[in-house]
Amino acid sequence: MSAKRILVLSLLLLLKAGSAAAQSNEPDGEVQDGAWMSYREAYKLMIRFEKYGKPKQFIQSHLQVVPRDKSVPMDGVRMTLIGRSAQLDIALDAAGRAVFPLQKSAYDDNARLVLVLNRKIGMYTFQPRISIAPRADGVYEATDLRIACEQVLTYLRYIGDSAVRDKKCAGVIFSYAKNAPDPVVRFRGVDHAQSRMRVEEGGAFHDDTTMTFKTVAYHFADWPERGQIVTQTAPVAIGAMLK
Amino acid sequence: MGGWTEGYRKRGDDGDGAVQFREMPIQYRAVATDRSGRPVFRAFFRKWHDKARAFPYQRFDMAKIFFLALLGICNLAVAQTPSAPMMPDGSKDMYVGLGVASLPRYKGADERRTNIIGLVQMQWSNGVFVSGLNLGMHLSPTPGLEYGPLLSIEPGRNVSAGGRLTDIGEINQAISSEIGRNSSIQPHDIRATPQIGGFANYYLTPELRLIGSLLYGAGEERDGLLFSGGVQKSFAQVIPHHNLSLTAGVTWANRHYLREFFGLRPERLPAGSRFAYEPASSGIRDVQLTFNWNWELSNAWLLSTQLTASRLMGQAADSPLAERRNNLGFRTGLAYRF
Repeated sequence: MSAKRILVLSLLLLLKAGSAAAQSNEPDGEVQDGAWMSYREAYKLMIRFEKYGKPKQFIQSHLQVVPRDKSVPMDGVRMTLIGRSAQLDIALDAAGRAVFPLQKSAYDDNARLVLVLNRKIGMYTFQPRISIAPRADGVYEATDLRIACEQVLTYLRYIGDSAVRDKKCAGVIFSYAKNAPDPVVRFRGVDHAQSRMRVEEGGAFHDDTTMTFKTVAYHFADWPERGQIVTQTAPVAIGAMLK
Repeated sequence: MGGWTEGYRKRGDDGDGAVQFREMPIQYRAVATDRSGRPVFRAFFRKWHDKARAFPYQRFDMAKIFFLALLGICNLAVAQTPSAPMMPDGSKDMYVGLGVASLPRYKGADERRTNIIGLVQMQWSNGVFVSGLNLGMHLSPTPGLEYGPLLSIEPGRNVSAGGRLTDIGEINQAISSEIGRNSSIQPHDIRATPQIGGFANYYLTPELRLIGSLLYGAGEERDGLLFSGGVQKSFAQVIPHHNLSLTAGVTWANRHYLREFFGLRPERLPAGSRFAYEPASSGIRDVQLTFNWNWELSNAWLLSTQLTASRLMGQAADSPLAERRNNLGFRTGLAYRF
């Protein structure tokens, strides 16, 4: 047998070994090929927000699981962090977002540490998601929301999101579960006069085309600069409207 | 490997760290093909024996061989460095693996060889990295800008160990005709040497960066200077777990480097030959286009593949030693992430 053939066979054997190693990381039979993400790669994506030095007091960062198309359900999807000796279930909100655990131990344990979905990975992707942080009292100053939208846009430009290069802040989107009662979101002016804002169906974020929510769009141009947005129930997510 | 996408280190030469080990099977094959009929294996062992006796210099040489074989290489022309580390303090990220490479025997050679190569990339949270034959450190505190010192091994050129003398195109026939007898020239061996310098990368976007490095110390006289620059576009996760990148680069070399690696000195030619060639000035050595494909088989296993097209330029291309201006390099390997 020639040296070249031996090399090729060796490589194929190594490939097989690597593939077997990948399979051994899967916790149960539900998980299909590729239903994972390296914790270290996810860490690289998520740590950028932590290291970001510009103002970010109104925004937050999550790791989001996104279905590839509208027909793919999010029900029952779970995310698990699997370490060498332990595993950790990570809660997903209704928008598929998870607070990413930045753990040194998880990073160092990468050899057997994966993020797993209990569905076929081909149906989902992982991505960082920047959104506006909700307030516990449900009352948002209009000026704060304008700043928050700018913070989202500035951060997305910072990380090189080419889709927002030419976009501007146009408003904020409050999203609620599709099967929830119509949310009540009002604009309260400085004269305390309140106007209820219209409920529509759409995506929670400026680039979200696969998940549908009940949304309330607060267009900056349609409302006075000063005032408050008052929500009666906590939204699933608050996204920047970039146009 | 950004990460492995930036990949193992790519450097500007044909030879690499595993050269000396890789030559061994070729040595034995040469026994059957040596046109002179000389028992090459005997010459080989005599040479090896002589080298072993040349202690302590050759002891360093053996250590160097081991070191080079361990590190393997990635010896494309555009110097690349891993992205700045994004990891917890005190952590590290390491890839170690094996693969195969099909490369020109030396830069400009028509003959190719297939070898086993090692793949190594290590990064620490303090910014230190080892990538192929390079040791460096990220010093920049500014996002989007990377720079730092770089130590590197220039693998040199090991032609004589090949056993079979490589004809250098038509020039050998011309020399034979000129001096009235058969003659064959070949590129001379050049020892591997350490190089010192630095690197700088600037990110136009997270997926697009300008890359550059300056290294001094190549060649027998250790006075070769190389500047490599290029632009690299990454396509991360185009398909889940597949990372691609495309790099276009150019390498400039000083006169000493070009003379060493592409010159044909009179003392290396038969007496009276008029075929001496010495580049008179510095200039562009070559341009390259490199395609990288990294496939994450799991969180721990990675299949890394690289295809490089390069074209010698200027005085390097005009050298009699340059049998071809255009060349392709291919390598693929499996690495484990620790």
